[in-house]
Amino acid sequence: MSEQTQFVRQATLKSEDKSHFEKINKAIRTYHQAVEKGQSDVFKDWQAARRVAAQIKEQALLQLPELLIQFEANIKKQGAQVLWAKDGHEALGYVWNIFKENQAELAIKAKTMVAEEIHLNQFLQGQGIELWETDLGELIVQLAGERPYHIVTPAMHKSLKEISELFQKKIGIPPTESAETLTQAARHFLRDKFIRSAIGITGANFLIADAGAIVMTENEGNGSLCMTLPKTHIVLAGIEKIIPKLTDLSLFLPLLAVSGTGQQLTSYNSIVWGPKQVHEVDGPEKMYVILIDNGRSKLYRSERFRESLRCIRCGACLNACPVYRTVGGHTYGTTYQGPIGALITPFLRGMREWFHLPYASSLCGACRDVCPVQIDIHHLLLEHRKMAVEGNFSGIIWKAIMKLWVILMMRRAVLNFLRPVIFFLTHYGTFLLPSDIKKHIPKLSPMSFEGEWRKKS
Amino acid sequence: MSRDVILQSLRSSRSENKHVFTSIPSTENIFNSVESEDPALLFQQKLTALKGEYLFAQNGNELSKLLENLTEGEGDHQFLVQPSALLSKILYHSLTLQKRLVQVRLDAMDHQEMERYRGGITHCELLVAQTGSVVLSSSRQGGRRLSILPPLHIVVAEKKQIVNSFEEVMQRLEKKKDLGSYVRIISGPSRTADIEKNLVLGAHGPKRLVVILSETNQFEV
Repeated sequence: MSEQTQFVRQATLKSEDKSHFEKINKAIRTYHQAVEKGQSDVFKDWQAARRVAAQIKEQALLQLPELLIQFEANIKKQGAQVLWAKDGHEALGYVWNIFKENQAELAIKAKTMVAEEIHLNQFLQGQGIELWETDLGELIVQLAGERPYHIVTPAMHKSLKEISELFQKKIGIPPTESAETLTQAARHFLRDKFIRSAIGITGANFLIADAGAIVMTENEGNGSLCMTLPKTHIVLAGIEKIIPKLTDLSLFLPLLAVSGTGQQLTSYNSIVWGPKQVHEVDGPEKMYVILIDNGRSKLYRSERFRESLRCIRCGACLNACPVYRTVGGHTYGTTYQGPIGALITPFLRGMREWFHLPYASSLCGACRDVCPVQIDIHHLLLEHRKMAVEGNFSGIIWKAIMKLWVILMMRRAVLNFLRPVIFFLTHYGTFLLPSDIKKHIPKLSPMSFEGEWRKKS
Repeated sequence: MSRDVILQSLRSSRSENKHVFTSIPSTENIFNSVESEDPALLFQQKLTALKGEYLFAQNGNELSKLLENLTEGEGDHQFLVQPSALLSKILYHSLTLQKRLVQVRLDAMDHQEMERYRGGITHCELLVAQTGSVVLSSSRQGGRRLSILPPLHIVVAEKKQIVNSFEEVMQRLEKKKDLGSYVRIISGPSRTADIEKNLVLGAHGPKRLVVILSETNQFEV
């Protein structure tokens, strides 16, 4: 089944699923209330904050190669190693070498979207490694054998009851209706994994060029533990995560927290300059930063689409999108869902297979309005559609139909000539169609607008 | 090598005339200004809003008393203390605290052992009034583990460590040397809302965060 067929099928199912709709909309309502408060708590002028953030990211992109080199040089001085991967395959190769070198069999991982992108979990599990997601939402999704539903709230689609049942089955706890008990169960379950793991894998929300540091933002403390306890710390980061200066965090940390969850700041923000220094009492002895391209340079090459690399993965556009809220995160079948997913997936994973995603948009622009780095998402989706047409991705039949439509619409005479036929078909010709389709076909009025207009004047 | 391939690809994608930098945008007037008469009060409000706990000590005896209260009823040798002159002095003068608190070399302690403690007691680099945050560095506040592994984290700070705005934090950090390899900005206890957006404290980090502020850390006990 093609990705497009799959999408349409899933979207139809989900949009008719009332309990899904209720769960998602409850979560997103809570989010929007928090964001409104968070914005006014921190920012005097939210629109100015977005403008400046967009400018800083845009500048960073203009100087991307230089900043990457600067980041590499600085963090190397502090003892970390930097590896460059042009695709997921190469990144996994690096990871595997590190596992072999350290003879690691058990590892812990904090939430990172780029790991989803390169299918890290499947790969390591395939090699016989015991790898645990430590973010609560990610652990739920891992135990359920699913993919994250949302880039910030991976288990948004699961009700408390479903999670309780899942935990009963997978980690053997007694039935409970308390989120507190479930959270404590997860803490207890993962504790010994934290302590025994040889390797901790995290992502990075930002790479800071002038400081040579990686930055990670989180609420649970699992990410901090992943870069604190294991002897080896692996950081996976897309090359677009660069920001020029340490002081840029003054803006970007609150910006990300507000857009991601409505907080002023998340509970933990870690800035890491390298592995444990000689005079320090603890921390990983080795630190690797794997810089991953995996299609990003393709986005970079396009002057029009380059701005999508500003994205800080806050998830605001997902929460704002009427299509996402209706069809849900899993329907996309992608690592990045919602408007930003529709925008970048065709570049990351192939135009021909994923051209349908830019059509999963009402082009209402809500995504652009909430984006903290002002990515012009809905106009870029429109550009995508143009490319899809020019590239003939939708197939010959669709193209022929559209050609016919154009001929029809551009020539009044042809339209008038065909009018009686269409009138007859819509009034008397629908009895052959199944009733659920029939009800969607409007009946043509006896006289056209043009006809009425003529009569009146 | 992939490094060169990636860099070359990025460089060649950038057309010459586009490689101009606009002026550096100013963050002036973006943030709410923080002009609190009493930064300690603002810090207290923000920290408690985040479900952290705030205590104030006038002098060394009060600090000692507060620590005794916080460690009450947990048994002997259940709290780990960051090596520091002040905390050593406090310990020296309180027999109760000597029984409950442990001040040892942390580099020799394995994770398993540290995990058994009920709490960690540290100082901090800075406190942030605007956000109720505590800023720690790995080299000066007892490493990376002490503030995140035990279920209770107690911070002993003095008033002059408070900065008004979050913006000042980065400016200060940039100037500081010997921060070590890791700075952690902590805003409230560990939390999650991953289950139906219910807020639960103590996900993987400390369930309780207590900040004891004193007028100055230079007092006699």
